[in-house]
Amino acid sequence: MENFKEIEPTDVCPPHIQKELVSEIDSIRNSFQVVELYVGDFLSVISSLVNLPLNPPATND
Amino acid sequence: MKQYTDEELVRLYVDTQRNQYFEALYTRYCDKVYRKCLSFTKDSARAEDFTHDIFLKLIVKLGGFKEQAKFSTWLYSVTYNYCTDHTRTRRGNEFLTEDIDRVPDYSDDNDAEIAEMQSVGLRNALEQLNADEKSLLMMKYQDDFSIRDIADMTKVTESAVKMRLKRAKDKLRKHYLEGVVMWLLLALRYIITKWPLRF
Repeated sequence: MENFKEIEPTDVCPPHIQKELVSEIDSIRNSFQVVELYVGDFLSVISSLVNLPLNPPATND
Repeated sequence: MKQYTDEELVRLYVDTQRNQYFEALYTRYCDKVYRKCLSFTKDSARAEDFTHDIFLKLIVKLGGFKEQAKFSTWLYSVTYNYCTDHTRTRRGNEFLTEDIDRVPDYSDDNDAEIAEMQSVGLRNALEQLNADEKSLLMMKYQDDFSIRDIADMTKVTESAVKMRLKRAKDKLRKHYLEGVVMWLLLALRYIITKWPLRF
């Protein structure tokens, strides 16, 4: 309907929002990588601890 | 980037996580989203915050975009839902008390009447409606979404959308007529004070 389209604002989105968004995405992505790295290492340590043999192999002495 | 469709850009962004694909999508839609936010907030600073938050929300949700609808429809859905949620006031939300089975009939009978409304009066009348009603009318008449699309976007049934539209149009017409009557009374008063009747 034409009258509804006429009342829509004609303003343009300010360019600084794009810069803010991109830097925010980068920072979120970096944070995820750091968390993934540390949590990943932590989990692999836990997993190796869990998988340690309960009875150590018998020695020959 | 112009050779890619929206959906291809989404896929490329999800797969590669490279900002250039997101920026291409942003460039295509930022003005539309910003204008929609401005329609709801009437305040440029708040509209900027809304636009920022909507695109940030979009990035988080992009991985879950299933391509069941067009990207633009999906983006509008996120935009409308965000704006409606954040501009909703405590004023009565009649939609919650509706009886969907009772008034399922919808017709475009009063569309002609709405089409004849003057822009200024229409804008004022829209401002009198609550965020949900305003959002519904804008989806239907500003963005030309079908009832099916609106039902998908608002996650209600088509009959509920039809009934809500009917109610919103009735309220819009009422507020518009109130505005017209008020202006007529003011004009009459001005005429009477300017040229007083002499008996």
